[in-house]
Amino acid sequence: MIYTEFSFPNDSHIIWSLMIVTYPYISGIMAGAFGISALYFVFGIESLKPVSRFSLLVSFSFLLCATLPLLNHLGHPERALNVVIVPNHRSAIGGFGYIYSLFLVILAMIIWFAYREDMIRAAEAASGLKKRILTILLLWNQNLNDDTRQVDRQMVFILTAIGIPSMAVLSGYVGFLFGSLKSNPWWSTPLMPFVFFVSGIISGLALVLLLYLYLGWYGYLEKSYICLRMLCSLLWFSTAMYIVLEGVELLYFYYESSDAWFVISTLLFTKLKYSFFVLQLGIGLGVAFVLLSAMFTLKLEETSFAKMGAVAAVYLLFEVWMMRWNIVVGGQLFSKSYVGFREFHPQWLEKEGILMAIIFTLLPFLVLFAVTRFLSVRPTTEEAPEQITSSGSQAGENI
Amino acid sequence: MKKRKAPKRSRSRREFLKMAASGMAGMLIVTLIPKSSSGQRIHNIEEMKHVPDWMDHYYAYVVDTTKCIGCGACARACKRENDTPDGYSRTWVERYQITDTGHVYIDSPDGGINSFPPKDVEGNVIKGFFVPKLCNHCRNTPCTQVCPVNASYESPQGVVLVDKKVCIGCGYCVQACPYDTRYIDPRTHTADKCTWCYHRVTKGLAPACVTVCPTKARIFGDLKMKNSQVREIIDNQRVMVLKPELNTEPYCFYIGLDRAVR
Amino acid sequence: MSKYSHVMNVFILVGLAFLGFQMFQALLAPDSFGQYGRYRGDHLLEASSLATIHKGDDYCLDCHEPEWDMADAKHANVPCESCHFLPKPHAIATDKADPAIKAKADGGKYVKLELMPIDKTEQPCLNCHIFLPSRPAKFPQIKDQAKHKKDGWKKTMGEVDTKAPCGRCHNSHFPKAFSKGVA
Repeated sequence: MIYTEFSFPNDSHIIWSLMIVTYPYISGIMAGAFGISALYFVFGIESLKPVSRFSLLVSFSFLLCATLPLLNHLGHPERALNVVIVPNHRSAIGGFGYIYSLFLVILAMIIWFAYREDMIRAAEAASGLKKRILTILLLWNQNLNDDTRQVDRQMVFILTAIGIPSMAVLSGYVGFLFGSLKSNPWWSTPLMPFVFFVSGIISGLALVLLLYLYLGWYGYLEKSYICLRMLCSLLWFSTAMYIVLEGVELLYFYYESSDAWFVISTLLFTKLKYSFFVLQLGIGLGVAFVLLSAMFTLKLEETSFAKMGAVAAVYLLFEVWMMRWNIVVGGQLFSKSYVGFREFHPQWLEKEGILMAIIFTLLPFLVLFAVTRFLSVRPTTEEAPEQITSSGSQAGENI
Repeated sequence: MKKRKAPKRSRSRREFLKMAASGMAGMLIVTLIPKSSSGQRIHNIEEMKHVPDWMDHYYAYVVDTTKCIGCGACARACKRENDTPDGYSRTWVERYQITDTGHVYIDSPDGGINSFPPKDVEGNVIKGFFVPKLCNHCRNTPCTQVCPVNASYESPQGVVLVDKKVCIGCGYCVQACPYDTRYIDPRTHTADKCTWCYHRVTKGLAPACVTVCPTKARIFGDLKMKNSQVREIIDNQRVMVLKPELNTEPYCFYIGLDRAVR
Repeated sequence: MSKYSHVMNVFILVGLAFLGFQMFQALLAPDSFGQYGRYRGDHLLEASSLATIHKGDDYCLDCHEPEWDMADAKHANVPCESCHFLPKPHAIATDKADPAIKAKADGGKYVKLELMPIDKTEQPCLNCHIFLPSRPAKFPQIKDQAKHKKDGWKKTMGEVDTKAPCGRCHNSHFPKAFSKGVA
């Protein structure tokens, strides 16, 4: 039977548009950044020390902003708290309130313990309102000695260890939300949480890499070629993982050749021809993976290594965004009749338009800037401030 | 021409209805419409709250696709009864035309609300039929499963409803419904769908689409009631559901469903 | 001071926040939530209390005596509201009803408000009876409207008026009387 195009009458609008593309993008970066600090704090990978505390702050800033696109998407944002007041325990979104709050509490606690000594020092030096705020933030306890320092380190270790599965759940959960819908063949695959998780890790690594290069240039972060190499290796590894996952997913769809492939093949070769094959796989994934592979194959100067890493990171950030787009929007470009397709062209100035998506994507950077006004981005406070500035200005030429 | 007059007109119709209810042609309406204490049927619906045992029912719906003529009366009635927004349909009718070239032409202009104008297709139509669609009121319900705030739920009577005062408008249920019977109402920004005319069935009336169907292609009734027409059909005839492979357990059954139906 | 004193503070804060959340959840949940299941029970009443628009055949038949014998008529099974529909209350219950209508109406409870308009063009007829290959083959359908009218007029009056509406020949309540319906 050859079907001519037909869409169900209610299938005329794309309900999940740019906001639902933005949310997993932000939460993916959150997960990737947290992963870096977890590698240092839990698994003791010393080479990542320069970015360990900074990654925590990146993760925290993105986590704080993650819910905003979702709120903007809701038809009734004022009822958003219904998700925790009358949650449906069978619903994938119903668990969002719990999973999100759990990770927020854990991450806030990690940062509190990791920055406790800094805050106590700052409180001792400060006066007036700032001192009062810091006292409250420290929960009226400024007990600081070698014993408490050790307790703080232990707490960071334990909490980060708990944080890893929470982070994995929170970022993979978006994938579950899509993957568990049997109504949509393009989404319905058990690989979906892993695809979302791994691509989230990629985007987080890529962003921390870029910020590290940028902040290292201005001397805010300690420059370390080993750290840079480590970040790029991780990036290569997760990109390779991602290629395998995406490949396996497509291969399964193709080889099973069920009703799902019937609509997916049409979708991929018509509506998503450019955004999937050219933009996501070709330009995004392909170029970045070739660059990353070349970086480790060729013998490069540190400067060119850093430059290539930066370019690859930009491409990967683009790739991950395109991947979110192709999954979220792509899954709605066909009708549930599986024989009808439609167009989607986002507008600039609508409620869920391009402008809002840009604002929500940039907002975490503002939050990060604000957070770093209060909390130092440097890994530990053991080094004196004078050293930071001097080493920073010298190291600026190395990378 | 002259209008022919029959001696006991209104009686005759009522008796006809009663006969039908006892299984001959099946007019479920009669068994559904409650009687007031005086034995009179209750008509003044605005004054009436509910039928006394309004919770003690379990409803089902049968669509006989072999009888549907695609007049669109159901879609029009639904729009009037439920005030559905323009561009969305709680129920609609699809026209299928399968030609000798192996092509399947499906269309549903505005959900069939203005009936179906003749449509040219390539080749000769060797098989054609209409398929009315509505919410399947599934038991293994994909849409209520995903509602994060319990705004969408299954009522004790087996009707899937949306509480517009609780709904946050996330759209997850719209994505989850494999039959595409849900939509976000652009006026209230909440999910909306067919309720089997819950406000009618709890008052003992049939849903609006069933009330107006001229060929009785749409049949509604109570599974808890012995001799109800839906029960008789489901027990004795070969009925099918839409997308059975998804295991949604619909309580909207179809007679004469073709393999071409999406 | 114990080396764990600040850790205690943190956990007390988190614990208090958790308890506060529990109270908040209990306080803000709607009263009728959980009455019948995990949903707002009052919604069942709200959803069932909406006004009904379509009334059903028996409602019509209480006041209107049909002009045809139901047992014979082709359109006997067609519900009134398939063709007739008034988007406002057609008649309401009242004590001030016109005595003439009172006598006729069921127990004198109803007063007529407005006439029921009916679309007398061809469209309501064609909705069901225009030929479509998807319609059941046995259902009376008109393949060629011009030919149908030509043949029909020839049979009766001998002159052809292709602009005449269906009602010129057919009584819509009793269409069989004039023609077999299939052209």
